[in-house]
Amino acid sequence: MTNSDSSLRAAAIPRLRVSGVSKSFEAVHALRSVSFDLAPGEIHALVGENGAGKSTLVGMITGLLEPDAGSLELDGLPVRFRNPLDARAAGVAAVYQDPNLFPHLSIAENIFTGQYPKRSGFVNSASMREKARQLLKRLDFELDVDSLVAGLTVAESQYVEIARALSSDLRLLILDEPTSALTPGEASKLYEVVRRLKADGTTVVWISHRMEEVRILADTITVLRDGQHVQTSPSSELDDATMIKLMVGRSVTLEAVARQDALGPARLSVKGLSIPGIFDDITFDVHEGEIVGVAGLVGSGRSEIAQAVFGIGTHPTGSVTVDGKVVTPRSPSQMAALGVAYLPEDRDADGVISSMTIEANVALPSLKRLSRFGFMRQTRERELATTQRTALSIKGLVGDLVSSLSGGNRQKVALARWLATNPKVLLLDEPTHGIDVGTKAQVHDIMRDLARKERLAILMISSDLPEVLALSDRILVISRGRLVANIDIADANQENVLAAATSTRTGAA
Amino acid sequence: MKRMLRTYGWELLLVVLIVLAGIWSSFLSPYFLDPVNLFSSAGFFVIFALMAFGLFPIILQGEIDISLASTLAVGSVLLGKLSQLGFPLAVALPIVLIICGILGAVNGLLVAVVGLPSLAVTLGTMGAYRGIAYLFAGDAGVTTIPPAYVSLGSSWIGIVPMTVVLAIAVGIVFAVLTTSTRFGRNSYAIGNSASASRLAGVSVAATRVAAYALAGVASGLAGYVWLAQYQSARGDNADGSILFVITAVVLGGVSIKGGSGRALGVALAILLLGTIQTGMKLANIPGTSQTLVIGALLVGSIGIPRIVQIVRGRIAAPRPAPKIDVDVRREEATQESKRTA
Amino acid sequence: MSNPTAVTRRRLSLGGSTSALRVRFLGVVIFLAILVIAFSLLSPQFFTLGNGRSVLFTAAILAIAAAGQSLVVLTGNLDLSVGSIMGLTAYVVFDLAGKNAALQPFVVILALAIGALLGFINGVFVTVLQIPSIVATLGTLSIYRGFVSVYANAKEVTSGTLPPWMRALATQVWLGLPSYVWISAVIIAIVAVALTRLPWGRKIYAYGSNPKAARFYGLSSTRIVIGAYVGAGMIAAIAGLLLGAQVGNINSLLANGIELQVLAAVVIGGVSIWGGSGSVIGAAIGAVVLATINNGLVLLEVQEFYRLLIQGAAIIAAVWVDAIVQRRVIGSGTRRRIMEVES
Repeated sequence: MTNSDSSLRAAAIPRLRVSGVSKSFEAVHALRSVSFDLAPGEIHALVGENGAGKSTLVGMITGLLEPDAGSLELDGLPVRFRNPLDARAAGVAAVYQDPNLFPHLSIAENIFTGQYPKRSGFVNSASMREKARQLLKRLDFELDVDSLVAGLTVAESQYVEIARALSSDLRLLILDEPTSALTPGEASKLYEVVRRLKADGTTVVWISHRMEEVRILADTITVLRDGQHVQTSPSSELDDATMIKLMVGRSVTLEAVARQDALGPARLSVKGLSIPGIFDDITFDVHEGEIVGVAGLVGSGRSEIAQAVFGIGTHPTGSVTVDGKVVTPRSPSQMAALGVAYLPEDRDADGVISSMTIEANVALPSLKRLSRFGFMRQTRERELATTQRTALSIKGLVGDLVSSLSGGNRQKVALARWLATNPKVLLLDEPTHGIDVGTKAQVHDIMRDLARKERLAILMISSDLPEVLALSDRILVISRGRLVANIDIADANQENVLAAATSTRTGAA
Repeated sequence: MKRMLRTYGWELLLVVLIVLAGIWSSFLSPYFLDPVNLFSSAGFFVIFALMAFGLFPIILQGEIDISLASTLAVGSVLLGKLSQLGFPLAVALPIVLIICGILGAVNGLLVAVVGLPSLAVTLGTMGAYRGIAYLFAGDAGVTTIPPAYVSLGSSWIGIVPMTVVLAIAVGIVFAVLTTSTRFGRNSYAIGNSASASRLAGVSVAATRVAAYALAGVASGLAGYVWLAQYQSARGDNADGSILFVITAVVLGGVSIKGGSGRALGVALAILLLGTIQTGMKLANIPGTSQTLVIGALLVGSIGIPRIVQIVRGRIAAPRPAPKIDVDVRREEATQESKRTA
Repeated sequence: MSNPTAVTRRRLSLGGSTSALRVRFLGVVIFLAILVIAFSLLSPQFFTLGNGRSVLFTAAILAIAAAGQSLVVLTGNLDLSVGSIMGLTAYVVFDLAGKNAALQPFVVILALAIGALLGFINGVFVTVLQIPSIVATLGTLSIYRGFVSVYANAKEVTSGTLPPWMRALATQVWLGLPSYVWISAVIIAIVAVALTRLPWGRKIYAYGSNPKAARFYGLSSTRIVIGAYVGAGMIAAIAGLLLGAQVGNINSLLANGIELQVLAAVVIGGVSIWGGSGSVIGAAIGAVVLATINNGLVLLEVQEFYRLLIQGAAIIAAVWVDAIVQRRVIGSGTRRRIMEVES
């Protein structure tokens, strides 16, 4: 290992120096001139809210993304990785929350794919298994190296990825929210592994939202916010309250507009909704004219709850009531017919069909209404698209392909096609994610109008806390599949919402 | 004009090719351009055209059906049997079309509801339906068909064979179906993204089953034309013709991945393939050699634009680093939803 | 193993996917066993040495072709041109060897070279030109067949141009079994070893299992897929040569339409149509299953339609099982557990 070598220079030369790194996606600045150092052989926590730019930074370090500006230095030498393989060859590897493995192959083979131990041209499977066993042993992990990856839990898959990273000389290991899918037992085992790697001289970057694990693990903490570097300091100098403040202390706060009219009856009532292992006993109401914000970390089960209500995926237990009628959500078409609409988080893959025109997209959920005996009434279709285009001020002609639009306008198309169906309940999943500031404000105004003028019931999932606070009448906080807080807007602030969202146990806030 | 060129570029290219093939053929034989010869040659391709039109919405939705030729055989044999049992055509034909539609719907259910890969499913039913055809036909097949059943094959409107009129009518039906109905809109949407369509409240499974059922009906109709043209029906009718049918649809500009293509393109592709085959027949080129040209057209139709794209890319810019997407889960999720949809 | 009890526990808790994959392979074997038992009970001639030989002889060439096809299917693609490759290779080799006696000792090498070239063309179409494999190989199916037809110009060639030892193979019996059965077994064994032991083969499995992860691992999809097609082409070429030697006088239509039989054997043999799992031995057993169905039904003097129906049903049943297995494999590895499951 580089152990003795690097420890000599440890004081002077950082393991990784990030200087002035910037990256934009379309109009959104994901990272703005971020600079900080990672010392050799330390555990360095990288914290920040969703959208703070952590994943973008990791992508850039591992060669997945190319920075628009800035540079990286690994052990004093400038590096620019073209892809994750380059990075891995240089001893830099990342393990993601969702492991990237070959499900049909054995653990041993997954560890050595592409770099098989060979004997006279053949894969030396005995040696491969032995080496795999040793690597897993170094992680103090008991796994049958012959079993298939398909049967592993997420935690076990992560060990396989870490073992793979170990199979070459490892200088920097990045773990991106590694414990979000682990049980407490699995997580504390992972802490041990990380400490052992640190003892071997590897620098570990630990990305997490969980205060308590950052607290027990990290030597150094770096806070990112809105794509900017806020602070890097030894963990002893940063207490929890300050850390939260640094994470949320936004320069922009959005203006809340107080609601004038009283709420109507409950349009959507969810009682005791559960899917084993995903979320449990979720109960809430959304009233006519109300915007209910759903806060929580990415992967906390927020989206899954909305999807379950819309009839996607595994069918939940518990009850869903739309407009006083108890329904069993089975499919999106059934729920859409009842006046429920869902705007998915992944707009480009699921929210719109970008290879089709604006008109075709807007008309898609309303085809039944726009046709007579199955035949389309094309003037009506055109009218509908034009009306929606004007109402939401979508830039572009109705005959333009959605792929030619900006993210914000795509989102408007996604919204327009549901508004065209005159829904009663809107489920919005990250409605302004990746949208430029101007369009974002427009979308906010549209949402307020929909709730207050059109009297829709809106459930809005968002990782953008200021947005949640500015728009919601009530805030639900989801943590690890449980509804941990139901806060009236009058009592909510960034700190108590974030504290509830990052709590591991129930009963916070 | 420019917009027109961009939208209908593929169809225009096919027209140009048809004209070129026509000129070439008329050099080979002075009889080629004789209208009577032209139309009677066209009659030969009606059976393929009907199956191609039926297959078109399925491919539009991003699936495939290789069992259609077997469905045709069931149709022709069953119709032959019913004719011998004394059923009038007006009764027998609807029965046959319904049965063929059911055979298609079975494919659709296995693909859309059970979630099996369409190629493998229809590979299986291709054999199974062929088996059903043999079951009805026996070894001897069905001959001596009553005149009412075969009159279609020998009636003309002016110089145009009735079967050609039928093919044109069916083509128009499928063109209208795909451009101006809910089914058509849903089909294009599903072909572009089945998961996004599902989230937009489209009944993906129902639309798929409908497309397969329609293809079954179209093949049944092709079976009727077969019976009328050849005045007999056997279990092995149209065996092996599915490759020609798929070629026609893909050559017609319908993306095998789904989501784009038009009935007009399919019709023109049939016309082009017909012209080339007729021309080569006139030049005494054996049928199996003709496939060389057809295969080259098929591969070329997709490959050449891609080569142009690669060459242009090489000239324009040095190769960028390969982009790798972190989010594997998303892709798997969509695969999964495609399967379960 | 340092801790046998821990390992045993893991094995037990694994349940789902590993055993699901095994079940699929066993499924084919059990299906074959049921067929054999059923036919043996129904027809006294079925379970005889002579008939067993005949079944295996029929299966031999199909099994070779299926072995080649499974290379391609493992990458998640298809090769519909297999029949045309067989026909083209046999015809061209016979013809060249007939025109030039000096080539006679090299017929096998010649065939392999032709097969490799044709497979390479398929692979380039699929990878470089990004033509979906079903369309690309449908195209080359026509092109290769068209080429032989033009080349043959309606003439026949005879296996008489082959070296005598090769002609004799078709009728020879070694150790109680037709020589073709042994040749087939050797080829399948070679492919099986290449797939399980060579980096080349392991990469085919890895790529087929998760093409996206393969890129993370630095595997070149172009090389892997072209490699699979070249291998498939070479194996198809040998199958064509053997079939030609058996038939004797061949025209340009040798092995026309065999592709669907080959594909059926592969699918019945449990090679996943989604790629990444299944074995070449399974594919070979799939070929034996098809041959057994044919043979048994002929002995029972059952009409053609039963054979087609059973074959079709077997294909659908096989993919159905495949779909269930695939869902288990994909589902178990990536399903997210958001909530803490207290143990």
